[in-house]
Amino acid sequence: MKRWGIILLFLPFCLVAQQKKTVKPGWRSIATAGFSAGESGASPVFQLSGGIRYSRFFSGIGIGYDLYEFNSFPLFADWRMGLGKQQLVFVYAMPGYNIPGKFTKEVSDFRTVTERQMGGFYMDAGIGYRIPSGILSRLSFSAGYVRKSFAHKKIFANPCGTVPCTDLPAPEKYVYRYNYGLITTKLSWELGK
Amino acid sequence: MNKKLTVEMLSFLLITMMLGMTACVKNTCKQKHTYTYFEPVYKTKTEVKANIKSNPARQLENTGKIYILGNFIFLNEIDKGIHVIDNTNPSAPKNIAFIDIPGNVDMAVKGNMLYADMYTDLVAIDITDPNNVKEKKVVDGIFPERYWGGGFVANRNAMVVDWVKKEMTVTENCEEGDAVFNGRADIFYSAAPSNSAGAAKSPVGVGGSMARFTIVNDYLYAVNSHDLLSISLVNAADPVVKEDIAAGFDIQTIYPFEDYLFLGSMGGMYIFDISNPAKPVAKSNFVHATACDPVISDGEYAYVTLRKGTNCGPAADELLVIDVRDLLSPSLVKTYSMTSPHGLSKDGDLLFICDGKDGLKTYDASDVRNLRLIKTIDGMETYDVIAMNKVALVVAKDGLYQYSYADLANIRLLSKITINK
Repeated sequence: MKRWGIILLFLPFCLVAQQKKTVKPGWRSIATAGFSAGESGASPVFQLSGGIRYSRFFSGIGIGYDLYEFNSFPLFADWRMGLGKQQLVFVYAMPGYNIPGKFTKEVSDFRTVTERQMGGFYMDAGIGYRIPSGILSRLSFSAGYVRKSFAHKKIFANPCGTVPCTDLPAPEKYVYRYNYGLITTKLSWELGK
Repeated sequence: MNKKLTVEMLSFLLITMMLGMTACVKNTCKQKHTYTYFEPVYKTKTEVKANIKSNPARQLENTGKIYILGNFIFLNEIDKGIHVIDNTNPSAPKNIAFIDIPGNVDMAVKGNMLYADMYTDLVAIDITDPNNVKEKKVVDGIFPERYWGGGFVANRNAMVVDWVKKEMTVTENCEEGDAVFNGRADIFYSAAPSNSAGAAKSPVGVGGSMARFTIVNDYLYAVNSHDLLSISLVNAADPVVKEDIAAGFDIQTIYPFEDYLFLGSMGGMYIFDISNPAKPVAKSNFVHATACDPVISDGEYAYVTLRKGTNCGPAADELLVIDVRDLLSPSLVKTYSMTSPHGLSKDGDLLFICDGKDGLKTYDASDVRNLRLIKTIDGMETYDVIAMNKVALVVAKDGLYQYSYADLANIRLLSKITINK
C-alpha cells in the first residue's frame, strides 16, 4: 500500500525525467474551496495540498473536507499537468482514500446500537485555468468529476427478552455502501514556484 | 494552426468530459443486511403426545421455573419440557430424566400428578415413577394466549418442538428495503423465541415466586396476562376448567397463602379470595409503578420485587414491603433499593432475594421496617429461589445451586448443576 502510494506520488516525475531541458523543482502549496453537486444537491468542499512542481508537472499530497451527504476527509495524491506554453490551462487528478467522519455508540435499556462509517475510494479529476496574481502566487478555477465512496455500518445488539436467556441471536448488521458521482467547481490559491 | 487545433481539441475534450460526467452524476447505495432468524421445527400433536414420557436426562440449557415435590426437583427447560432431578441428597442431586413438553413454561405438582402447560394446552402427567412418567390427559386450548408471537398461530395439527437458528445475508439496493420475510410468517428475526418464565404446602409441591401455576388443595390456579383460571383437580387425572376470571392486566406471577392468591402484575398486586376455590373473588389491589414483579406473602406482609428494563417498564429496581393484614386495604410499609431483583422466597424470618448479577441476598426480615442484610452470595446471576427445610434452591444463569442455611453464619454451597449455554 505504502509502495503504491510512493509510486503514485512520483509517477508524473517519471514521465518528465527524460526531458532534456534542465528545470529546477519547486515547492507549491494549494488551498482550495468549492462546491460539489450531485443528486442530493450541492455541498461545500475544502482542500489543502502541497507538493513539488517540476516542469509542467505538479505532484503532491493533500487532505480535504467534503460535506456532501456524509462528512468525510479525503486523503489524496494531487497530480496536475500544465498545458500549452504558459501552462495556464491544466488538467488534474486526485486519487485517494475517503476517510469517514463519526463513530457513535448508543446504549438504551432496549438495545445497543453501534454505528461506524468506513472509508472508500476517492477520485477528483478535471480541468482548470490559472490566473497569475504575483510572482509566487496564482488563482485557479477548475471543474471536474468526483467519485466518492464509503460505507456506513450499523450493528444492533438485541437484548435477552426474558431471563434466563440463551441462544441470543448474533448482532444484526447493516452495511450500506454508498457511491456518489459529483460535479465539482473550485477556486484555488496556489502559492510557490 | 497548431494553437487553434489545440484549443479546438481541448474544447471538444472538455465538452465530451462534461457530458460524460453528467451521466455519472448520481448517488447509489447497496445494502448488505446480516441477521439471524429462527425457523420452527414441527411435529404432529400425536407425535408430541407420544413423546411425553421419561426420556433420557438432558443437560440444562435454558432453564425457567422450578418446582419441588418431596425429593424431586422439576426444572423447566423453556419451551422444551421438564428436567426431573432426584434431590434425595442435596449435596449430590441427580438429573435422572427429561419430559418432552414443547411450549412448556409453567408447571405445578400435586401428589403424583404433574400439570404443565404445552402451548395453549394443559397436560396432566402421572409422575408416580419419575423414571417412567405417563401422559394422562391433555386439556386443549385453555391458554389461548400461548401462541407464537405477533399473532402467529402454528398449524393446529402441528406443534413447534424446536427452533433452528439460521444466519442470513441479503444484498440489495438500499431503496428496495428489507426483503427479510421470505414469504414466511412463522419465523422470528430478532431475539430467540421464548416466553416469560412455582409456595404452597405438601402434598402439593412448592414453586418459586415466578410461577404462573399454583395448586391449593384440589384446585390448580393458572394466570395469563389478563385471566385467572381455576381448574378442578378433584379427579387428579382429569383436570376440569371451572372458571376463567378477568383478573387484571399484565399479570405475571401467582402466589398462594392460606385462602388467598396474590397475583403480581406489571402495574400492581392483586389479591383474590379463594374461600370458594372454584370461584376466586377479587378482594383488593395495590398499585405500583410499571415493572416486572414477582410477589410472595407470609400472610401479614407481601414482598414485591420491582424490576425495570427490557419488557418490564421504567420503574426503579426495588423491593416493596406491603402490609396485607387488612386485605381490603393493603398499604406500603417500606421500599428497599435493589439492583435487578427477580424471584424471592421466605422461610420464617429469612427473606431470600435473587438480585440479578448481584447474586443471592439473604435478609433477616423479623422487622420489615428494617430488613437486615445477612449475606450476599455473589458470582452468579440469580433468577429464582425456593427456600425450605434449610436449603435454598437457586436458579442462576449458569446453574442450579443449592445452599444450606442451617447455620446462618456459614451459608454454604451444597451442590451445583451446571447449565450449558
